[in-house]
Amino acid sequence: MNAKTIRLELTEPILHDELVERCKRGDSRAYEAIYQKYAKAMYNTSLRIVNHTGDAEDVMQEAFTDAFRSLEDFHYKSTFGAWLKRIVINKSINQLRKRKMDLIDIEKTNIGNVAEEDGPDEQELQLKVEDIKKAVTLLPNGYRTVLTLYLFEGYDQEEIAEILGVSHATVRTQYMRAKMKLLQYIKLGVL
Amino acid sequence: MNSRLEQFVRDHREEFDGEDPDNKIWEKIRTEVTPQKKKQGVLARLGRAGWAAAAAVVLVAVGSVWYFSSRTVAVTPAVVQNNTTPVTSTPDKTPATAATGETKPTAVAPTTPDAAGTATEPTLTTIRPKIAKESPARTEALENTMDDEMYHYAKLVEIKHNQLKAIEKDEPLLYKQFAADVSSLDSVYHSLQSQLPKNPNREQLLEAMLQNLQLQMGLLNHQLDIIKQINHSKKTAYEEAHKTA
Repeated sequence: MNAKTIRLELTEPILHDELVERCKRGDSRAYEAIYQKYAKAMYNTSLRIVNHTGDAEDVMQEAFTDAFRSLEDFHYKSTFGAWLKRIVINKSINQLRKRKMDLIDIEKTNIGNVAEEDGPDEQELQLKVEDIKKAVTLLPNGYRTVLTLYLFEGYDQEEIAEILGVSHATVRTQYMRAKMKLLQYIKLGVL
Repeated sequence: MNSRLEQFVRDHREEFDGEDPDNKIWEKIRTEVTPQKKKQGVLARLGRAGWAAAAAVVLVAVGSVWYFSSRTVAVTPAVVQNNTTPVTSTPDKTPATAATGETKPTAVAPTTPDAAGTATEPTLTTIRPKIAKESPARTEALENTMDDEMYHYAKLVEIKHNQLKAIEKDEPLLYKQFAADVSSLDSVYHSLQSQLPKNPNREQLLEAMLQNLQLQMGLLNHQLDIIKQINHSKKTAYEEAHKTA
């Protein structure tokens, strides 16, 4: 899902989700149906941020449990999937912070001497899904978070700034640097 | 920032979600989201089949009660036979021997029909006259207190029966099963009662009747408990449904 589709969903009236309504009525089968519908996407989203299968599993458990318990707070201001994903992302970021991986500190990390001007030429690179996936796991936590939120989850930079509690400008530079590093990993074939 | 990488990811977005979450995650979520199920107890979790099983358990209990009470009833005719003939033939037996050495077998007699036919024969013939001849006033008093007790229990059974009737509308099937269980006990009571006028062994019969009433009350209490549990689980389910709605 990219930024464009999210915005589209926000402006169009969102139809009531029958599964969600059944959950609100306490239908346990609907809980499971919801889980099965979203589990894989949410797990991959969380895994890209926390970079650890055990942590991603914890996030899943917490996020779904919280979502099911606070269904009365879901008022169709977005799709249920978008609402749930936001919970998963917040929990994933908290999980990183719990592990003392301070996301504010990303500014101070060594950016790997990658200057924007001498980064690898995107047009020449042979892009492969598996290579990109591996390169993402190698990124430092701060870079990885900003990059995945923008590149994979489709949030725009202002939304990411709000989620992380940093300025729009910070998100912009963080993303540029994260992307350069990612491309460099791919080019160098460190995978 | 809209460059080749972004375009590539957009075009292959699905392929990036290739990792499968462990199945145990759902199990953990399920137990957390539906913990009420465990708290509800056994009765609430019973399905249609479960209720049938519960009813069967009650039925077996009633059946065994009926079986044992019918055994005691079967014994009574033997006692009657023994009593009618030798009443006058052994009045010379001392009350002391009857009271000390020979009372024990009487207690065994009703539960063991084969013993009643043979070994206990003399004891029954001696005890019975003793009570009948020597202390008619005492037996009468005993019967009176038993009557009082019986009346008390009969009244209680009636009250409980009316309480049970209240569920007839909500749970007609359950009520039917419950009522059938109680009435099978009740029919035993009535057969005992019908033997009362022609049976000289009143004390034993009355005791059996009293026991029957106590059993009826126990059964009714049990049934009312079950109903209480059902109502409780219904109420919590209703409240929960409203809370989430």
